[in-house]
Amino acid sequence: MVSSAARSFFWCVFLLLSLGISTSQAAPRQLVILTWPDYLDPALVARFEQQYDAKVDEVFFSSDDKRTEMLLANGGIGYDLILVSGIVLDAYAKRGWLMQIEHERAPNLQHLDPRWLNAFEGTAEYGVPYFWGTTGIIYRRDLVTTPITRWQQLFQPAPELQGKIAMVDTSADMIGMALKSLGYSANSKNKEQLAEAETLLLEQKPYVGTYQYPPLDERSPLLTGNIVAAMIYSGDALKLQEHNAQLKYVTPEEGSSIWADYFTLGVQSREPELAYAFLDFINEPSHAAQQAQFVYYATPNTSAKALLPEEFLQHPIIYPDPASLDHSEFYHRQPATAMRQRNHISARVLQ
Amino acid sequence: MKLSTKLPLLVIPLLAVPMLLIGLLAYQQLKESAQTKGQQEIQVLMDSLQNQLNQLTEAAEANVSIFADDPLLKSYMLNGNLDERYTLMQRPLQNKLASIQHVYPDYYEIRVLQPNGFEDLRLTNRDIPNRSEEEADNPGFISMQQADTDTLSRILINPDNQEPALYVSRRIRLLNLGTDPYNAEPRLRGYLSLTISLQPLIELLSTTPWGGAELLLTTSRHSVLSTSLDAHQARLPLEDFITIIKEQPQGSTGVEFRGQHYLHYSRQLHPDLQAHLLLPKAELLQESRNIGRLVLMVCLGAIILSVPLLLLLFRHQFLKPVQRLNQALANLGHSRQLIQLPIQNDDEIGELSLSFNRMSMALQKSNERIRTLAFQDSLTGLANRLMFIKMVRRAIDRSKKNQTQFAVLFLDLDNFKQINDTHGHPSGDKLLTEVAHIIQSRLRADDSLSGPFFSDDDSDLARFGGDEFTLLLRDMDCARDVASVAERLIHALSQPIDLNGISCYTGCSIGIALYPEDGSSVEELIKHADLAMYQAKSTGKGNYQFFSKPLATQSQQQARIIQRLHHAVEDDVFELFYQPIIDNHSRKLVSVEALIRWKDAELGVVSPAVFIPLAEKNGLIQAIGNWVLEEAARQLQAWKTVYGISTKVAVNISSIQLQQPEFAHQITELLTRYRLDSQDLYIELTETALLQGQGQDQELVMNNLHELHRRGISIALDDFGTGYSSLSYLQNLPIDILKIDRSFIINLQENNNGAILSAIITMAHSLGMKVVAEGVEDQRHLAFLTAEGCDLLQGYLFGRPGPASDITAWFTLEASDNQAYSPA
Repeated sequence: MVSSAARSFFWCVFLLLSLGISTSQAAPRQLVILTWPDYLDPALVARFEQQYDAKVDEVFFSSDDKRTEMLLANGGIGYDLILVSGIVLDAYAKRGWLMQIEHERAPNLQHLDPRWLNAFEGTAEYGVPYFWGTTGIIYRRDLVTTPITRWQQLFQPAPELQGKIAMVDTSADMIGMALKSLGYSANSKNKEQLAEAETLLLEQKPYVGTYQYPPLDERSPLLTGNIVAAMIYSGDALKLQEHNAQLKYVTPEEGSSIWADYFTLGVQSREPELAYAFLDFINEPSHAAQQAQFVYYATPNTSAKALLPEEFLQHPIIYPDPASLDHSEFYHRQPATAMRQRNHISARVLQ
Repeated sequence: MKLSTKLPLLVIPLLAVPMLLIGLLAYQQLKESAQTKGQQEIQVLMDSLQNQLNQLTEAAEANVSIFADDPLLKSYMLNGNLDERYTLMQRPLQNKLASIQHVYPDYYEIRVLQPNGFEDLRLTNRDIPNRSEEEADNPGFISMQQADTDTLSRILINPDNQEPALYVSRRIRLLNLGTDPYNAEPRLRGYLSLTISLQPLIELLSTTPWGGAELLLTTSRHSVLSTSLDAHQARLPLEDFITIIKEQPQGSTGVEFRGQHYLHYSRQLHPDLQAHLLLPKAELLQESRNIGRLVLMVCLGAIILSVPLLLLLFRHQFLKPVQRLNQALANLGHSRQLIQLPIQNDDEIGELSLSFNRMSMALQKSNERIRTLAFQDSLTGLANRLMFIKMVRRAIDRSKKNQTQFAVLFLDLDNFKQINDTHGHPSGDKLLTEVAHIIQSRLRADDSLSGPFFSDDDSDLARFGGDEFTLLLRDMDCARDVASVAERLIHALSQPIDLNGISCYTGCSIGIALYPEDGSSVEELIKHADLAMYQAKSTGKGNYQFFSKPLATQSQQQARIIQRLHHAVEDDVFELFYQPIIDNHSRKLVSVEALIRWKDAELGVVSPAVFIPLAEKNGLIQAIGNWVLEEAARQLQAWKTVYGISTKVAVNISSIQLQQPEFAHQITELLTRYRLDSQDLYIELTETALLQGQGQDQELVMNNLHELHRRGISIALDDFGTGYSSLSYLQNLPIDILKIDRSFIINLQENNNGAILSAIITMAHSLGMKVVAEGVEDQRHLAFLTAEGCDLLQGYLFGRPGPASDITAWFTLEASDNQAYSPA
């Protein structure tokens, strides 16, 4: 979404300017965090700033590819903390953009579930698990006649959905879920399967209203009804439901992807101390619980879980029933050729 | 040659030749300019192709350098780690190149190639399947690999879509600052290649201004990249086109192929690209032909339009008026109508017409005058003889058509000559005028009960000549009506006419001929009316007579004689013959009898016995008699002067002469005029003349005789013995000489003529008269007469009547011989 991208740009400029001003005054330290929009509870951030006499600057990206592009543009310089999805973490680390995490420098990291620490390559060294979730479909119950239960309904939309679908432009999700709807693994490296997925996506393309990830505030086209069904990350769906109860999130029958986001330390971080302090701060169990409730995602902080209300812990979307995740899978690293093929698919679909 | 022929012959070439010449020149000029224009258009087309291609190439070359310098691309190329490359960098690079492609949609393929020819990245905005990712064997790649320069542009057929495309590629050499030594040579990392659509160029192909032109883009090896026309639309199969262009050098040349002339133009647009234009020459010249045709049509149109227009104008303005003038001039001779031409313009022809009109008008006036003079009698204003003949002719035509009758009246004044002689010509003229007036007024008069009356339309009066008037009465069906008209006229003219205070009685006689009974021709009718008039006159003056055939035949000769006689009187064609009268005693010539001789040109010699009575009846005798007296006196005086003789002349006198009151005085006056003595001339008159007339006339005769006698003029009684021969009656008359009729002498032997003769002579002597014997022809007569004592002898024995010269000869002889006549 252009406006959100533009907004993030202006934020960035504003922050850099204020940074310049603050440094000239030799005033509060600054922490620059590259993250999704609406992913940090502003109340917590404010508390951190107060507590550490620091200024937190959030720089937003709209997709994984955008984030990579942003990092490529300047070699990762300028970001203290970078929110990275588990699947690319290793590549970022290899690219040399990330610093190894010294767990002892942030004591609260001990609350983290080791399972998430080891979920993706490199996460143990470079990542601090933040949240995990699934990828599913959100749709307007009031605006569709047939309830949506399958990816197939999104990829081969019925007339009532045509033109009113939103997809994500993150290739792993887009291609992965296409593969899923075809009955293949989301991690398929098979050329033909990928080609099939490409065909499916190209066939779907005319009916797709937008490939922009929908904003989560009241401006969202899902709320206006311009979009009636969208691929979405689970927590975001819940956040949107705050605005309209008619929005329904489903984990499609073909299965979903399970993803996890990690905070990483920028290799060029100018305030590593502050960055560690922030990591420590957000992993303080009460903070982690507050944060989870803010974003409606499952936290990997085991201590925080104890603080969360039962209702939250039992929420089928936040904490899906393991059975419902039978068909779901984590993304894996793809070999270069498959990756290249996926890139070309993305390029063609998103052209 | 006529003007109407000459003008077109003059005008058509005068108009047509310059026009056609102008047309030809214009055509030539237009043709050249069309050719030049065609060449220019070809140049322009080629230039625009060239420009388009140059622009594309230059822009692409510049762009490919810029794109190749992109840091993302550079870091991508430097990154040998494929995982990293594809996982992290390819998507951002794709996005970047996609945004470039968004700006340059003609760069429909953007490719990143690895040094080994592997197509690392391919971005296309068209739905073109990628045929191969391994480009190592692709000639395009090979040329790129082997090129001298980093930037290379080529035109090739894109194997992916079989379309010609401009390939602009950039060799990317980079130094990896991280790993390579500082001063190492930059290593080849790969190639950035743009595939650029030649569509803008190909679109230009179809913008040729000529429908029949074929434009071809080929590689330098003549493999066709694109054509302007569909294969089935093309006039020429593609193979033929290629055959042609293979043989042709660069630039513009004329080609003949299968009888068709083409203009071939080719240009090397790019080392890999040639443009060929094949244009049928007919097409190139089409425009000039069209213009030429137009010019020709305009010329012909102008000629077709202007020639008849000009001719029409000529005809109307010039020929027509001239023809009209000509016609009018031709008519001028024939037509009696006044010919006037309309004056259409105030040009020279108008002036000519005006002059013609003036001339025509003047001619008309003078013609009218001539006609008037020709057909009118100048004295009375009546129609003249010529006009009358015309009138009668018209009347005949009309009557023939309408089956009607008409009458011709011939009117002659009885006493005109007398009045004319007595009172002079002016009075005569006045009389004629008056008479004309009277006749006209009587014809119209309505005061008489006898009718009918005539308007000027029904009757035509003419003065036929002298004292003759002719009258034409139309639609006269009844002879009685004509008669009543005649009576009316006679009555009117019997009244005295006042001539300057003198009352004259003229009187008239009228002859009438009716159409168609009395003649079918003009001449006949007039002649018969004339004859009828004479008949009327002969039966007594102041009369009218219808023409009657028997009478006419009888009197025709007489009438002729009378007619001729008139001429004779007027022309003095009479002659006097003289017959000697011999004294019986001395046998000498004592007197001659003057005898009138008339030898008419037409009738020959006419005997006085014939014409004298006619002259008497027709009032001519006075004139003749006077002439005879005059001539006789003149001759006698001449003889007397020459020969000094005492011979007398005997002149025959008509009773009519004797009825003139002044006759005796006239004789005396005549003698005095010729210095003659009263003894020198004596008169002879016949017994009938003496006895003719009654009352007043008789008295006048007697008075004259006595007066003559008193004045010493002897009187001889001629032809004695044929009439009453009453000697006792003669006793009371002053007769001096008795002439015994020749019949007594010639028939001397018969009966008792001798005795009678003897008695007459004796008795005459006793009455104191001398006796003249006429018809003495032989000696026997002479002997007898001598014996009887006859005084004077006259006859062939002594001499026939002869011309004056005979008598002159006699005198001459007598004078020389002094001899008396002795009969041989």
